[in-house]
Amino acid sequence: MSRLLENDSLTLLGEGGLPVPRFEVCTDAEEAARALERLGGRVVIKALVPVGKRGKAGAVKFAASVDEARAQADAILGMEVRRFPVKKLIVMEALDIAREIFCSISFDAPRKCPLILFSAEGGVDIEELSEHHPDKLLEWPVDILEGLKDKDALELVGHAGLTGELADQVARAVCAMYGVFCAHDCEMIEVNPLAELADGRVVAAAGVVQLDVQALFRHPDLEAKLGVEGGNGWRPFTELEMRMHDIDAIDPHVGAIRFSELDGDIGFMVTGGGYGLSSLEALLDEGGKPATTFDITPGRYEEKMRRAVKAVLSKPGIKGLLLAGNVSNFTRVDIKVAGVVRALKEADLDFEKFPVIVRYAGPGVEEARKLIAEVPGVEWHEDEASIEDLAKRIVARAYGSDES
Amino acid sequence: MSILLDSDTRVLVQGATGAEARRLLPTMTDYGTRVVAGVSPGKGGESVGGVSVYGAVAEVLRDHEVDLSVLFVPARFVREAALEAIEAGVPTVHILAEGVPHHDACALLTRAAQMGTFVIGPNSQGMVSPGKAKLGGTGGEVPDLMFRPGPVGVVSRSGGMGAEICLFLTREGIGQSTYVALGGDLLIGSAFVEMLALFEQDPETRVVVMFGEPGTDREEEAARFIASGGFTKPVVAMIPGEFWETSPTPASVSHTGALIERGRGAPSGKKKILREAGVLIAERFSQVVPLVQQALGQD
Repeated sequence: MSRLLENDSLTLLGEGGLPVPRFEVCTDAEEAARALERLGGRVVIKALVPVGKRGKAGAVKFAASVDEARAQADAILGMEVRRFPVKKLIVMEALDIAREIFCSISFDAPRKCPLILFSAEGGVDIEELSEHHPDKLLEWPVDILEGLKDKDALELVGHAGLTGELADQVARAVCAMYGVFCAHDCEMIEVNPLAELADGRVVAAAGVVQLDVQALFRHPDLEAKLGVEGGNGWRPFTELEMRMHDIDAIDPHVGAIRFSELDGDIGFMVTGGGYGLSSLEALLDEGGKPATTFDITPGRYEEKMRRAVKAVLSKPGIKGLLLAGNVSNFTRVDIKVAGVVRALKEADLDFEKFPVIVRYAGPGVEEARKLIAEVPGVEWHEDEASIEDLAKRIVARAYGSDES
Repeated sequence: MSILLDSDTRVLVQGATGAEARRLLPTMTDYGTRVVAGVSPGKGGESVGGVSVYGAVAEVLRDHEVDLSVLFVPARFVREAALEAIEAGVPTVHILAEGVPHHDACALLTRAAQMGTFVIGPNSQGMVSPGKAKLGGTGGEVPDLMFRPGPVGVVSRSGGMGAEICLFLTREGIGQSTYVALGGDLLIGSAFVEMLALFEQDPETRVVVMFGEPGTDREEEAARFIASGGFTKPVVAMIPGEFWETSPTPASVSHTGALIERGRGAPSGKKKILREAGVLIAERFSQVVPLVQQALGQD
């Protein structure tokens, strides 16, 4: 996943000139208590997890004494926030917030430009804002070649109803955010709330930075911060997903793997963005329960395919395997099939009983056909088989309704 | 006829000395694509598959007229190469690379819009006007398996599904006028609307098939364009992924554009507005060919 944890996000924003609160990262209650002492005696303790809506999950607490800090830290460390077990905390100096502002920057596909979303009434999440108060959400497209000038930012905050010294400070904050957005190839930055404090200062009280994974080659330092903690974005990696992650890592230059483990029982290894999605829909329509999703970018990936198929076959309760891809233009399909065949030969399975359905078409199909014939019982299809044919076949055979 | 590409289109190949171009350029010229020159910085004077290579786009334009430049350049160099073609005044720029950074795509698309350059991609698998010419990986070494000349325009956000749709049309004896892979990225140049406008002008094209995906509003734009009379021929559309809207577990999909955000880009909404515009919706892949047959008969 491309989302930085909050400590890394705030550090990046702070380095970019946006005022952020002082904070420390802690792993136990005692550290949290010591952090409270160093941060002035009043702190907010939050779960350091790679997902949002922590407040709603009860994973954001205020503490004004070392005892309170210990108790709150202990409570949060035992929690699971939207499937992520809390292993670290971020302890922040408590802010005396007078007003909450929302600001995010991301790319807008229709307008093909960076888009600033801004609301002078922040604090609630963006879904809530856009659903219930769309009138209070300002959309501000930016010309990426011109950048965001000071006067543009002032105009933006003026449109949102801010005036005077506050407007100046918030405009500077928005410019700082935009600077970070460009300097680090961000996909999205959200600061919510951008807080006006009782003493008049403007501070990013919380922040999320999402990086563009397609640009990480320019930011090796940031790539190192992403790690595997973010899982697949909505929950931590499962054991099987970690195994597939390691398989993908055997060669970073050949065939990048995308993989998810699901609750079902049919190993679904259908590649291609659109083809995979269409096939998954067809499988669900036929009553199939996918156990995985799998994609691999073209390349010489025989060994990765071998290990990936073995990994999927190892999933407990699996009833069948569907391996397919859209008709290939150039990538030889026999390379993929060679890996598949090796994995199947190494598996101790009777393929008359355990259904494996394979469909590939394109260059190398004759060689692939010969390779597959070395594994008795595997059902082979070529360009004649449609997405729905394959979904019907695997469901019929895996769930035992096949009469043929 | 066809759109964007035919046997007379004068094609420039950028990144001509790279591995991808060395593999694919011969398949393009064998098929009939008129490649007038190649460009690779620092490699001027070389030759790839009988095509002369120059060091810069501007140098090519001193010797040749160019209608379209196809970029075989790796993702990290796309911004520079595309801007070079745009600044030199090449009318159409076709970007194949997958994984172009969003900030780079955004910058080059912004400049292209200012210069009036027509951009296809990034992350376009290619395009083909069957029997005439092809660009990129599309058709590869087996173009006749997938493509044959005929009356159906095909436009797809997915290169794989575009190829698959053409394969099944061809298997049923239905040919294509032009097939364009738009690219699966979040930020791409032209989309359905631009292609529909071109297909409207092409007398050979009688029906268009659109393959859409979740995310962005490319399909919604197309529906509004059709409803406003911008495209008057029959359209068949397939947009998978409706199951995703109610799924608690987001599927991982490799296309960066396939993201439902703030309730926007949901397949159900796309299909609804397209249906209201008179588009024939294929809920299943097996319905695509029969709906095309129906549309061809109606017309």
